[in-house]
Parts: sequence; structure tokens; C-alpha cells
Amino acid sequence: MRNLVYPLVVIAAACGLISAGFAQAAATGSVAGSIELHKAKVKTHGAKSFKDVVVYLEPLAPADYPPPVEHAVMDQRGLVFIPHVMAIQVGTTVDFLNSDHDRHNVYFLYDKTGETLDIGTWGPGQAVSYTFTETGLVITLCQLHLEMAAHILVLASPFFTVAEIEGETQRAEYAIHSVPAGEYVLKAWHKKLKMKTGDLRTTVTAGRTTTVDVAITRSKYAQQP
Amino acid sequence: MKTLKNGVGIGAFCTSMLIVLVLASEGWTVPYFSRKYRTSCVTCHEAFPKRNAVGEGFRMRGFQFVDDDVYRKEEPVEMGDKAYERLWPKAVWPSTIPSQIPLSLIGRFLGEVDLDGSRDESMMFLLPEEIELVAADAMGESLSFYGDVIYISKDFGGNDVESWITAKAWLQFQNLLGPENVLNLRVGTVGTQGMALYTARDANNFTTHFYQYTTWAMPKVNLSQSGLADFQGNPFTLQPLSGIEVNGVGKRWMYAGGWVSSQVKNPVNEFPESDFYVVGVGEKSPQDLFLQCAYKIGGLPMDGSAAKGESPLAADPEFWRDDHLMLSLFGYRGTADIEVEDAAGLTSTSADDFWRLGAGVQAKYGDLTVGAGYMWGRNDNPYGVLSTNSVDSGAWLAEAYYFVYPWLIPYARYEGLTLDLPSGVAGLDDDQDRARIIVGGKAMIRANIALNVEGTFYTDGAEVEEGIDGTLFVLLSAAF
Ligand SMILES: [Cu+2]
Repeated sequence: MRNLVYPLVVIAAACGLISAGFAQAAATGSVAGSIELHKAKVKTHGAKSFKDVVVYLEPLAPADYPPPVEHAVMDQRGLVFIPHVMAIQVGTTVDFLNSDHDRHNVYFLYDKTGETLDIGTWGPGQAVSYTFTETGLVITLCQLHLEMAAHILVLASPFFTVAEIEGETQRAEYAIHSVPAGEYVLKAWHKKLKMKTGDLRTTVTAGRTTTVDVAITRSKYAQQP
Repeated sequence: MKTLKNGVGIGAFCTSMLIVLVLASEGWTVPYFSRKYRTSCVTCHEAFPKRNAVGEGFRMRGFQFVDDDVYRKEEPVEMGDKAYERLWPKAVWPSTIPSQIPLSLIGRFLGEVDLDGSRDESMMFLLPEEIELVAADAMGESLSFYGDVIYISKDFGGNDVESWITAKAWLQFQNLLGPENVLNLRVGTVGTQGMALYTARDANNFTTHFYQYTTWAMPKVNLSQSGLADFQGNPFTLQPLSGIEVNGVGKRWMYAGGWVSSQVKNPVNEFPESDFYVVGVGEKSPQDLFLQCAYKIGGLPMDGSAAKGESPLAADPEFWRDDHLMLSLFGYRGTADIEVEDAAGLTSTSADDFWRLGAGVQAKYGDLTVGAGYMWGRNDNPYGVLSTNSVDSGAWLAEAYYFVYPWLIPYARYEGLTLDLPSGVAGLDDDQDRARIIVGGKAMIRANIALNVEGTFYTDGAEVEEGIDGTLFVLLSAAF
């Protein structure tokens, strides 16, 4: 009898996992589409290029998502912040590395408030971690190298992606997966350009991919929200 | 630089032409902006230095294209991220400096042939007539600069050749207020691209000669004939002046206005007193005002916001074409000090208030461009104690040029000046009206090397601008 119990437990557990997986898959969907540039072209090469577009979903009904346990990483290498554009969920801890032969500093400028925070200056091989507890754009600078800059977009939800505009075609594709079915607002953030249409109401249907094509353009051609 | 005699002169002229041609075919010789964007001269020029619509838009945006960072092939060196603008004054105001030295070199080599035997020498050569070292670039989106140092040799109509060096410089703060390009502030030598009608500018022309309406100055009193010890008249000409300017450009319009001093130490149409001077620097602080504006109907937008092709750098097989009609106005109001010193050494000083008001038109259709302009003027008292009379002036021009081939452009200009000078002033001829026809052609030997052959023929007042009537000018110019 005892030697039967173990396989049964295993089978039961496996069934439970599979059904849970199905439930999960059944309750989520994806949002994907293209990003077109309207009356604008951007530089897509170089350390501080304009290739990155953050596309993210904000649920209409307020919800709390637990922040990820894993740390995100921002490196400083060759007098450049890598990556140049980073999206994180609020509550995420970012490890700021220094892979240079030089000392670097990390200095935040909170876009919303204009407040600043100097988290320190450290040498090669060292790292400092910082947990972002407020949503919004955080412009990340190094006061030792004034030309260095990165953009950290701190978002309320985990449903985001960073898409890259291709130089030749001046367009990008994006996809956000595992989004619980429901009503959302889709937003796109770019260093210079704005969404032509303003925010887009988006319905996520379980098990399906909703296509939302996005156009970004200069502020003067964009619809103000 | 001494005048070269015929044989030696021709030899030297041909040799210098050959050297220039050889250098150009080496391929390393292209001006700075061409290098920066890896684009041909014809992207911005009809026939250098005359710009086409793309080049004018680029210039008026502060040496930038729309989406400039997409097109430039060499990254400028950043002095600080744009975010530091928000931290000002905590940090250094950000901008960029060019990664390459933003220099261009322009050489002009001139030969003059006396066609009617009115000169002492049948041929004269100025080799070079000018060597220009030009530095210009944008420094980030909010700053641009221009500077030049020019070695000049002139003979002013077959006189002995004299040489000197001039300098000009300005710094421009872009987009101070409101929409893009609507309000820029320039300090330094302003009016470098035309202190005159926008449709008839010396800096944007095909001829070897400046316009008469921009270069004439109130005639001076001849000291020996008048018996005066000294006469300092009004030195005003429509040339670059030091001061402060605001300017802006939109799709269909442009304006520039400023605060300058016209009482310059070294007028443009005279041999200067010193071997080096800064153009347009006055003897007094600025007290004159000018305003220039233009409106364009049809054709490409003036602010460079649209191009014929995919981008401003896309090769345009008809780079010189841009069908349009353009209207322009120019106004100037100033004051100059007039000083008369009589034989006894008694000096009388008075003020000459004066104004100019001009209107111009330019039409471009296919390969043909025609233009015309008129400038009215009045000087209240240009001769001080010598005459209480005011002097009215009228300067006019009509011109045309035609692209026979993209590299061959014949042109003609008819222009003149009438002055109602006071009679009875000793040492002043009261008839100094003048009119002349300039006929010539420009051939582009390479995109950056041009040859002008140009004759000047006076229909009135040949003696006033001595030595230019009946003269053929051959000018080779090259930009590197
Ligand atoms: Cu650093």
C-alpha cells in the first residue's frame, strides 16, 4: 500500500499543477502591435540613441501587484549607462554597477517633482542598490561625467516592454504577454516623442492577442490627454 | 601684394587653377558641413555660395536640419546631458561642441581684364583675392555660432593693390520663446547673411560684385577742392554690423531685426586704415535699428521643415529648382556724426539722421530666376555745416539667372542709384547718379569649385566708380 501512495500523490500533484497552469493561461492574454513614427525620424545608434519605446498597460480597476524579487541591473561601462532606457515595476531594486576603470556617481532627477537624490559615488567593481518606491520617470545622471544619462521609468504594473525602433525602417514591434483579462489603458513613453492618439483603452481577452498599433510623433502633432 | 605683370600673371593664374583642380579631384576637399553630414554641396547650394531652399532652411535653424541627429555622421561632443537644463544653475548649462574642427577654407582668385583701355594696366591679378577661414556649427539645439577670418586683396578699380585681414563672429541662442525657430537671439557681427533685402543679398548671389544698393555710401567731399582740413561723412552701407539681432523663421516667412551702429571705423568700400579689423565695429555704441522680413509663396518651406524627397539629404536631381514667389521688405533708421574741419582748424560736429526703406521681389520658375528691388532713402543732413540740404536717394536693381545646365548659369543684372546731392558745396559733384549692367556666367567646375566670367558696363556715372566700367572679371573660387 505504501508503495502506491507515493505515485498517486505525484499524479495528483501533477494534475493540480497542470490545471492551475490552464487556469492561468485561460485567464490571461497578450497585447501586441507595431510602433510607427509620424512626421519624425530618430537616431537609433549610439550610446544615447532614441530607439527605445516603453509600452505599458495600466489596469482601469486599481490592483496591487507584488514587486519582483529579482534585482534589475544598471551598469556603467565606457562612460555610458547600460541600458539607456529601463522600465521597472515600482518596488523593484536596481543594482547600479561600475564596470569602468573610473569612479562613477549616480544622481537621480525625479521628472514629476524635480527633486534630486545623490545615492553616492563608487569605484570600479563596486555596486550600490536602490529600491524605487515611487512611480514616474527617474532621470539618472552621473555628476562626474555630465554627458552620461539614463532613463528609468518606474511603473505601477508589471505589464510593460521596451521596444526598439529599427534604424532603417523607423518602426518597431512590441508584445506584452501574460496580462490578466480585463480593461486597461495602453501608454507609450519615448524620450522625445509622444503618442499621437494619446492613451488607448485596451481590452485584454483571455487566451487571445489584442492588436494595438501605436503611432508616436512630435509633441506638436500629438493629441494632448 | 603687388600687381603682377601680364605674362607672369597669366602663368601664375593658370598654375593656381591647376593646383586647385588637382586638390579637388583628390576628394578630401569638402567644406565642413558636407563632411559632417557626408552629403554633396548641392544638397544645400544651387551653386556655392548661393544656397537653395534646403540650405537656407538649414542656415536659419542655426545650422541644423529637422531631426538633425538622424542625419549627422559625426557625433558632437556633449558637454552635459539635456537633463541638466532642469538643474540649472546647479550644473553646467549643457551643450555640445563639434567633434571635428568645424573649419572650412575658401579661396578666391581674381583676374581683371581692361576691355576699353581706361586703366593703366590692361590686366591685373589678385592671387588670391580672398582667403577665407570659416568656422560655423550648431552646439546642441540651443546654440549656434559663426566666425570668419578673411585675408583680402583689393584694388578698387585698378588702383594699387592693398591687402588686409578682417574678422566677423556671432553667437546665436536658438528658440528663446514660443514655437521652434520663432525667436532667436544673435550677438556679434549681425547681418552677415544680408543686412539688406532678403531677396537680393550679397552673401547669396552669383555675381562677383556686391550689389550697388548695398555698397554705395554717401559721397565724400574732396578735401583739396573744398579747402577743408578734414571731412568725416556718413559711412553707412548695407553691410554686416556689430550689434544684437533677434530673428526667426516659419514655413512661409522670416524676419530679422536688430540694434546696431553704422558709424563704422572701416567702411566696406574703402581701403581700411589698419591691416586688421573686425567688420562693422562702430566708433559709437549701437543706436541704429533695422528690420528685414520676407514672405514666400509656393515652393519649399523657408524653415526647412519639409524636403522634396524623403529627407533633406536625399539626392535631388533638380537641386536648384524651387518654383516660388518671394516678397521682401527692409528698413533701417540711423544716426551718424558728421565732422567738418575747416582750413583754420575749427571743427563743427552735427548729426545726420537717415533712413532706408526697400522692397524686393523674387520669382523662380523652372530654371529661371528673376528678381527686382528698390530702396528709398533720406539723409537729413549728410554734409553738416557745408549744406543744410537733405539728400534723397533711390537705388534699384533688376536681375535674372538661368540654369542652362546644373553647372552653367549665365546671369545679368541692371542696377542703379540716383542721389539728389546739394549743388554749390565745394568739392562735391552734385551729379553722382550711376547705373551699370553686369553680364556674366558661372560655371561649376566641381561642386566646390566655381569659375565666374563677368563684364561690367556703365550706362551712367562710369567716372563715379572709376575703373570698373568696361572691365572683365574672371574669378575662380573654391571651398574646402
Ligand atoms: Cu560617471
